Amino acid sequence: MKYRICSLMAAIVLVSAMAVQAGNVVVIVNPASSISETTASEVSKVFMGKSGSVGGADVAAVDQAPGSQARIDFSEKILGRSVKKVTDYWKKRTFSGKGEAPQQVANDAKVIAFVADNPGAIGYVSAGAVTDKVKTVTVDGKTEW
Amino acid sequence: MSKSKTMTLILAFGIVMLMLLSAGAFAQGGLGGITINGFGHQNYIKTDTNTYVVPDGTDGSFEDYVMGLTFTAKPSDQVFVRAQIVHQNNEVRVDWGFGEYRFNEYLAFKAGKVKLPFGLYTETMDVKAMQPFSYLPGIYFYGVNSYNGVGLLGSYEAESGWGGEAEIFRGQSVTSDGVGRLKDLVGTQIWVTPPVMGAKAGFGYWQTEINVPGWPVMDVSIAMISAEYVGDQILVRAEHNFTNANSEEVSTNTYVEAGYLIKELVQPVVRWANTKLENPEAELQARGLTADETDIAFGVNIFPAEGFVFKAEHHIVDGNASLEPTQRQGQNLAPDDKWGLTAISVAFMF
Repeated sequence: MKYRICSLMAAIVLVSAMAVQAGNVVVIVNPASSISETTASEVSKVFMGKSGSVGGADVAAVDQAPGSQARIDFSEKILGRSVKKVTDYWKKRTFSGKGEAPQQVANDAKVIAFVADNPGAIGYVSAGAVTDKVKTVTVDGKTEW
Repeated sequence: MSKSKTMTLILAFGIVMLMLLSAGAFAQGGLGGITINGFGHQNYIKTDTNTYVVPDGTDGSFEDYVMGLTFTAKPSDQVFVRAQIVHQNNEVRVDWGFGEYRFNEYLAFKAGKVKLPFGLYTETMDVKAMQPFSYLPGIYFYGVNSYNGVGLLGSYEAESGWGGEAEIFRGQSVTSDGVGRLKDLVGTQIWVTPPVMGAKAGFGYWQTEINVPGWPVMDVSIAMISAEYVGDQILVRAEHNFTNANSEEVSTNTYVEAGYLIKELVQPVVRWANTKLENPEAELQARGLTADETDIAFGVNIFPAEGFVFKAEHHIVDGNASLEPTQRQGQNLAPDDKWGLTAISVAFMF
């Protein structure tokens, strides 16, 4: 009986860990970039069009499609607002002629390809999708969010 | 089928095709570096009196619609060309179109035909998918939507989370019906954003010399204070303005509106709006107007998919003070002072 309870608890912990892992995102830049750490506030400013640099280095944000899990996690954990609020914000900027949303690609693989090809790009992907073609940036001391 | 209806159908078809394609090729600079976005709505409005509010209003009208496309090109890192084309009232027109030069991330200069930066709604007046109600409060019935001239836009956000945006502009314009001419139009719009996500407060002001045929030339100025909070569920907005003509206050407008988004699907909304005219009573009576108008509106928005919204609303109006914009002169001879308006619409943006 004790063995079964321990097994069940271990399974719950494992599943929980996997679930957390599946929902984590990491911020990435080109390997040539000087950026290795930043803050959520700085990243938020870049993705909301209020700044074009991180730590003094010029950057251009690349976003993911609104339906992607990475976009949902990034929006809620780093930008601090829902994807809908972010898209509404950008629609308002666009239709009033005051800005344009960051370039958008479909998924993790395309973000990695884009960031790998563009030295000034900054993006985000699911934690499990990172490859050595890009560099992970520490945000507020954390590599994963 | 009339030419205008054919044109509307062709444009609507084009926009639907762009919407279908926008998820892929066109969105985000896929068409030769030009980003294309679009919006539109088709409204059905019925009033129980005051027919001129919309054409054939008491019989129900489909005349309130807009189809629009917004284009953004970026020839260089610092230069942007932006334009918006809309089809409305059976004609296609350039709503705005201007060039913008960004000195840095804080400061930009723009020149051309620019949407008037004034209050929370003027710049996106026609994008009903972004508004809680399709029928705007009387505070926006001043009949000027854009200017031809130059503007300077500055923005800054501090580490503390406080930020702001300020725009100053100078140019000329015409009233939205094309009748009145506005000379020496000068103004500003300032926004302050506290470190509370979704909150902002602002002050806007513009003044001009307006020349409407058949009326004496007037110096007009309008000041507006605004505040909004847009959270993930809660929406609250309030604005108040003062209009002066030849240095005398002629009207004030106030509205407060709120909404609550339930599961990103349904949003009940309410609004209280008031217009007060300060003219001597005899003058108002001669024009068939009451000095005061209160519009209590309630409605619901349903969001079945990203960028789409079905809207329904009803307005209970006591008074007719807001029914005097320039474009309705001559038709506004004996408006009823207790009236209602019901609107049902579908709106989209991409």
